[in-house]
Amino acid sequence: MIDFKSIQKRQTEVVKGSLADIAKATGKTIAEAFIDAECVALVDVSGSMSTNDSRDGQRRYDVACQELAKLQEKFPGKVAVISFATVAKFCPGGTPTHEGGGTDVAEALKFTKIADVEGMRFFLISDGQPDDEAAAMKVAGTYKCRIDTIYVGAMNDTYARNFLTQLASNSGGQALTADRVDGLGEKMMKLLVVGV
Amino acid sequence: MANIAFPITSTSTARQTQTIYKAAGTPEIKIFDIRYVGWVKKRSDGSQTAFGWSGGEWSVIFTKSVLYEWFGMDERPQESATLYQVLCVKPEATAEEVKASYRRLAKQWHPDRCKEKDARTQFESIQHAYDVLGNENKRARYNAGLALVANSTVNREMPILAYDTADLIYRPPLRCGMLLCEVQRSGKKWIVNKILQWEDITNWAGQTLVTSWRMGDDKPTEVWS
Repeated sequence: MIDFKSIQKRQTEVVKGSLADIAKATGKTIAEAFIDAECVALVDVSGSMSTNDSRDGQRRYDVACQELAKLQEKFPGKVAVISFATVAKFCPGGTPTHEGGGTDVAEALKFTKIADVEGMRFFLISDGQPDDEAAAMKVAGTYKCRIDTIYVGAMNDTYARNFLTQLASNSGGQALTADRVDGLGEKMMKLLVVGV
Repeated sequence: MANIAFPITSTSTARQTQTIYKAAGTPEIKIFDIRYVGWVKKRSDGSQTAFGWSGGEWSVIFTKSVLYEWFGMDERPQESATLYQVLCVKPEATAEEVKASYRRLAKQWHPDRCKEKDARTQFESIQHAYDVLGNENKRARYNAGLALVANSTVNREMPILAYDTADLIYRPPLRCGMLLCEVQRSGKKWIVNKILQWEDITNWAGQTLVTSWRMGDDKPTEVWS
């Protein structure tokens, strides 16, 4: 059963090192804090992220939130979190909004296209197949910055993995795998620090 | 902001208002030599207005919405003024327009000339806004931040970060000028319906007037620079 109360509580909390946290600490607006962001993490929050097959039997979504929180604490003000499913949302508090629904990668990439400015990095974190693969590839092709992808589903879903590998490759990015979200933060850190 | 030809030179030092156009039953178009615009305050009748000092008295009334419209402020509750609003430019302003507005405001708020107690803070805000908007990459990132915030979880799921500016008092970023306005008379005062143009006041030597109101004074301090 989905614990909506705990989801709502988490979404009202401000993660340490998130853009909202930095904005509050420095007296800036969130838009101003975004100027110093180095990467945009697009996090899939579609229905499949509720699967209880991640670390210690937790949902993939919960583990993704934990990993993102650790990353933001380590790199304060550098990570902008965007959640996406059927629609995309900017989550300056650092916790992706749990939505459920489809996996509209094309819409998510269109949403973040405005942040495709010199020096920005994009991490697409997903466990599933996109609603429209061709549309997603087309939008990704318009990006000037590289898009790195991290597959966080089950290892045997080769179709979804191949899609993310192809998308990353088309934009000059890297494709990594964090089996059912475990180790997501470590993979992102690697991409951020050494770009591999 | 409106971009219309100003019908008289702003080097005029005339203190009287000048009627430009009046047709029967319509508001008048007038030019005012405004030496100081005060804060927008909530009045006893519930209105939110600022008074303009012209001809040695508070003879002109600006409503908050008139000033908001001219300075591009947003009536909706928001985090705080955007950097564009700080610099009095539209988001689509060119780099040259941003620079020109920055210079104008920096002159108006320079702590050496402006005598108001928060002049330094205002000046620093203007400097900070230009540091971002005057840099192509920073401006692009800031625009991205603004666009993302407009479609974010801030106001819905994070009320702690949502600010309500409805009751905040507002001070226009320019304090004096030759103003072309659409007005109507109310007793001895003029109520501004719309600001059509706002030019700096300059003298024959090409200097610009900077005015400020020191606490306790009975008239504004005027500095030409």
